[in-house]
Amino acid sequence: MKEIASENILKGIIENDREIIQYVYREYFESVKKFVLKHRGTREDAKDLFQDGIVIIYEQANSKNLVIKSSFYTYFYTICKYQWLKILRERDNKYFESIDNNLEFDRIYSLEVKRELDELIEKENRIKIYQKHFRNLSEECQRVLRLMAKGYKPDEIRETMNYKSVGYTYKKRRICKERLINLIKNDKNYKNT
Amino acid sequence: MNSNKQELIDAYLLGNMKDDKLNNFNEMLKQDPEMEKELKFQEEVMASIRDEKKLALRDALNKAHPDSGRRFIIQRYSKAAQLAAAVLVLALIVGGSFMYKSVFNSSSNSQQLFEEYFAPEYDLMTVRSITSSNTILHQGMNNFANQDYNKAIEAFEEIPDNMLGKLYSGFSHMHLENYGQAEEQFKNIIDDGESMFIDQAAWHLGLCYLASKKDDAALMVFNDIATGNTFYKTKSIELLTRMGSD
Repeated sequence: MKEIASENILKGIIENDREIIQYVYREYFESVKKFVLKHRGTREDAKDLFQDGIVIIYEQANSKNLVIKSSFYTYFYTICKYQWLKILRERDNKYFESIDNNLEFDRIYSLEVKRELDELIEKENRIKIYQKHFRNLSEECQRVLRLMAKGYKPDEIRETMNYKSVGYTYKKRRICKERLINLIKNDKNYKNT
Repeated sequence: MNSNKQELIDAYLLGNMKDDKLNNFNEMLKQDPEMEKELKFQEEVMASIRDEKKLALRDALNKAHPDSGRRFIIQRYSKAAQLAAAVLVLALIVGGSFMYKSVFNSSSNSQQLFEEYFAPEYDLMTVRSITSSNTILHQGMNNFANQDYNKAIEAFEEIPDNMLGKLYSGFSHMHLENYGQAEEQFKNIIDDGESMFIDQAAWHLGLCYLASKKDDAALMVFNDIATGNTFYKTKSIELLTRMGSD
């Protein structure tokens, strides 16, 4: 398999290119999984970590002009490793203290980069929870809330959704929003953020 | 948060506030940190819904994630067995597509088969025959035998490296109908590669897929077991036949 240049991988992630995403999975998932399983994680943890790592790079590339000076693999793997050590420190501090990686944890990034990255990780963790529960709503609720979030007026939502009245549109919108907010607030991972 | 405050937040988010109303609302926020926090939270939720590109990226990542069920089971068999499994799958999917669809379109059928093949009595008999010097493991086993599955899981979680604990943690989750968590336990045993419980884990992973209506994944797992040479071979062949003929 031909190696793909870092800038093309970044471009593919930003453009949600299916082939690039499959390439990244194929080439890099096993390393991340091995690291997580070795350090008391599960396959599900590895999956989450891998996907969160990609989303963080997507966000960095979107919000600032990200240039990867090392290989994509090195950059990505370091982010995943940092995220896992951060989780491990909270989840199992005794084990975290016992492994060599805890020393490396302090050295991975400068304080400034670390602060920026920590903020991004926390924000993306929240957004992941919001989007997960949004996707678990009915198609109808997703459409209503999407229109609402985009600033459509109730009458425009009524027309698009083919509802009988504006009153009903308000009611539907309120029910869908309350359901989403409740799902999020009852998520145990949200409570911990 | 009372309903009046909630309505004000709604009105603000919909852009229905102007002039005095908006000024009053901003004043209220200054006096009420809880309300301000709720507003920020709801604004962030709405922004995440607007971010369709990120939603699409998450969807694409979930889709690209390898189906671990088949991959980890099949690694255990020889290339010849893999080929045989592939032929069997192909025969079922192509040759018996009509039969396959007519059976698997009925979700009650998967559930019925699961209930017939998931045998709690068998698990209990196994538990009672086990003696262990590991106190926590023993405690977990006792909890399991007494059908206190939550306590059993708690005990097994204290010994995360013990494969027998993982196996019975998986069984406990199955009894509680937490099939996703049960799958995780069985996959970890299979991943370990050296455990003596791989065959049991594989069989029960297939049953979990059956219970959670992941019929394609269940079919793959049982096909793999059927082409191997373990205790569960006969049962898997029988189950596959039932899937095709019920």
